[in-house]
Amino acid sequence: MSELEAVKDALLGFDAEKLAKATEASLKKNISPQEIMNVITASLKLIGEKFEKGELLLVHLVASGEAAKRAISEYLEPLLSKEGTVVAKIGTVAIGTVAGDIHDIGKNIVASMFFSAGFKVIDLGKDVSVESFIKAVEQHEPDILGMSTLLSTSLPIQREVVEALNNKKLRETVKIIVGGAPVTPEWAEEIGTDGYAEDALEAVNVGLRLLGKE
Amino acid sequence: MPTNLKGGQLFFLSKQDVKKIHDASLKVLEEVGMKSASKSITKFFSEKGAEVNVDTDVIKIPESLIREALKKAPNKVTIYGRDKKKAIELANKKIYFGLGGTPTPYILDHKTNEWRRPGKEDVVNATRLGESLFEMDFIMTIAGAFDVPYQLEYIHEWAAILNNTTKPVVYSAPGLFNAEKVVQMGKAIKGEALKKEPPFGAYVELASPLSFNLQNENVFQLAQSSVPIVVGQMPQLGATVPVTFAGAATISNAENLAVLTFAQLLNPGTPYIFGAHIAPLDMRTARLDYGAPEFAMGNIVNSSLAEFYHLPSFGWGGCSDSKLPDAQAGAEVMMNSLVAATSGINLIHDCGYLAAGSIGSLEAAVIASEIAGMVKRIVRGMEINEETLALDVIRDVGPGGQFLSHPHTLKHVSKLYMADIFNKESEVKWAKKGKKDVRVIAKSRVEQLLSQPPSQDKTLNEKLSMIVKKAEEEIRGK
Repeated sequence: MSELEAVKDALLGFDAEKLAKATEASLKKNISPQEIMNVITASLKLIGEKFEKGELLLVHLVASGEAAKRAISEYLEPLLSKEGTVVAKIGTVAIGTVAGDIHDIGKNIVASMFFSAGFKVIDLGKDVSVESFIKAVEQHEPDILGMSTLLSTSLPIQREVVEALNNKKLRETVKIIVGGAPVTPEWAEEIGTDGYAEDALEAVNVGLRLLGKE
Repeated sequence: MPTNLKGGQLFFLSKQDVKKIHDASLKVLEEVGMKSASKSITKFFSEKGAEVNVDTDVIKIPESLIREALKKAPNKVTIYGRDKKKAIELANKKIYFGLGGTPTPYILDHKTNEWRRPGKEDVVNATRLGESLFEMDFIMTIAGAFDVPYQLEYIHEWAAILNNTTKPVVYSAPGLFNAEKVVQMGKAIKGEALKKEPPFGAYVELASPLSFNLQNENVFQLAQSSVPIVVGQMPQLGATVPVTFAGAATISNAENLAVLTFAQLLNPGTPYIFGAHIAPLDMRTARLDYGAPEFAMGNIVNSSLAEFYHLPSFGWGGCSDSKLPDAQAGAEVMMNSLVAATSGINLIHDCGYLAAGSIGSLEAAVIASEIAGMVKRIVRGMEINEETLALDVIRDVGPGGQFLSHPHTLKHVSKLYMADIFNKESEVKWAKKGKKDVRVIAKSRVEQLLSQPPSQDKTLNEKLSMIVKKAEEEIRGK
C-alpha cells in the first residue's frame, strides 16, 4: 500500500490514529501537503456519499470528520500556511445554537457535516447571544451563518439576529440558514433568512446551493 | 376513574445490576459533576456543601448529600387533578397512561389530513379529547400554542389545559417566570390545599449530558410550593450519552440524583418522580428514534432505578416515529406501551405523539387509547382460585356441552376486553359498512368526543385568565 493509499484507508476505517501516522509517513516521503489534502477531501466526499445512500452511519461520518480535522490541523495546515498556501475551502460557515437554548447536539452534527463537505467551520457553541452572532459575522466574515434551536421559546432569537444584521448593514454579506425541531420553511421565510434545512444533510446541500456550488 | 392497575411483570435488571448503575452514578456526580448555566443553581449547591468550581461552573455533589436527599423524598406521590376522584397514586408500579407530552411543533389536522402549526385552540381540543378518552389517566398535550407571544406560550398552554380537564395534569413550566405563574394557577384551583393535594406535576428537563440550564431554575419555585417534580431529560444513545445502555443509565441516573438533591435541599419532602427518556439517535437520519425497541427499553431502566430508590417513575408509551397513524405507528405504539406498563412505570406519557414528538395527532391519540386499554387488560393478568378454576361449572356442563348460557359466564364475562374502535366484525359486514380503515373510525371518534360539552369551571376560567393577563402585562412591561 502506498502512503497515500494508507491515508485513504485510514480515513475509510474511521481511524484517527492511523490517519495521523499515514499523514506523517506521507510527508516523510516528500508527498506535498496539498496532495495529501486532496486525498483526504476525496475520501470524505466518498464517505458522505455512502452516508447518503444509507451504507454508513452518522457515527462514521463524525469519526472520519474528526480524524480528518486532526490530521489537517496538526500536520497539513502548519506546513501549508508556512508555504503561504491557503487551504482551499468551499466556504466558511459560522454556526451556533441560539440564546436560551443549550441543546446543541443537532448543531454539532450539522457542523461536522459542513466540515466533511469541505467547509471551514466556526462553531460558536450553544446559548449564543444576538451580540455574539453579530460579532462572529464581523470578525470571521462567514459565507453562511447557521442558527439552530430546539425550544420554541428560543425561536424568536433567530429573528432578532436577522434584524440585528439588517441594522448593522451586514445582512447582505452573509447567507443565513436556520434549523431545529420547531423551525419551519414558513418561519425561515417570514424572518427573512435564505434557507431552511430540515436535517444536517439538507443543511449542507442548502449551503452549497446558496453559494452556487451544488 | 383510573384503574390503578399494577404493572411491573417485566424484569431485565437484577438488584446487583441496578446497584452497579447507582455506584457509577455516584462516581460521576463526585468526580465529573454537573455543569450549570445558572449562577443561582451553582451558588445554591455551593452553600449546601457541594464542591463548586466557579470558573468552570461545575458542581460536584458528594454522596452524603445524595443519601440525605433520598431519605427525604416521598415514596408515594398523588396527583389529584381538578376532580379528586380522578387522582392518580404514583407508587408500587401502578400504571397510568397520559395524553401527549411537551408541546409539538406540528399537529396532524384530522379534518384536512395535513400537518400544520398548532395554536391555542388545538391545545384546548387536545385537552378535551384527553378528558373524554377513558384510558387516558393524566393530561399533557399533543399540540402547542404557537399563536401567542412566545414568552407566554407555556402560560397559555397551562391555562388551556387546566381549563379543559378535571384529570391530573403534568406539564412543562421552564424557568422561574413560568413556574411562578403555574404555582399561582395551582393556588387558583386548590387554594391552600395546593401542597396537600397538588392538581398537577411540573415537568423539568435537564440537558444531557450532566447540565443544568437556566430553565431548571423553575425547581426553586416548584419545590417551595411542593409541586411534584417530574423529571424527563432526553439522553441520546451515542450522542449525548454513551451508546451502551449502562453508560446511558449512569448519566441519566446521575442527572436524576442531581435534581432530586437540589429539590430536597430546597424543601425536604418535595414530591419527586424519577424519569428520563433514554432514546437512540437514529444513525441514518440524526433524528430521535421514538419507535425504536431501545426507546421502549429505556422504561425498564427508569422503573428499575425508581424501584431501587423507592421513588415513583415517569416513562413513555403510545408514541411513534411514523408520520401517520398507520401500521408502523400501531406496531410501535403497542410495543412501547406494553413495555412501559409491564415495567411498572407510573406515568406513561406521549400517547398521540407521531414523528418522534414533532407531530401531535388526535386520531393517533384515540388509537393509542385503544392500545392502552389492551395493555391494561394484559397487565391485569389472570386470577387462579376456586371460583376461576370453575371445576364445579366444568362438572355441571360436562363433555360436549356449552358454557355460553351458564351463569358463571355471565358473572365473569366483563373481565374480557371489549374493543372500543378496533373492528371485530365479519369481513362481509365490514365491507357492507363501507370497508372503513381504523383511521376513519378514529377520526369520527375524535369528532364525536369533541362535540361533548367541555369540562370547564367558569370561576376557575376567570381566575386563570387573570393570571395569563397579568403575565402578559409583566412581559409588556419588560
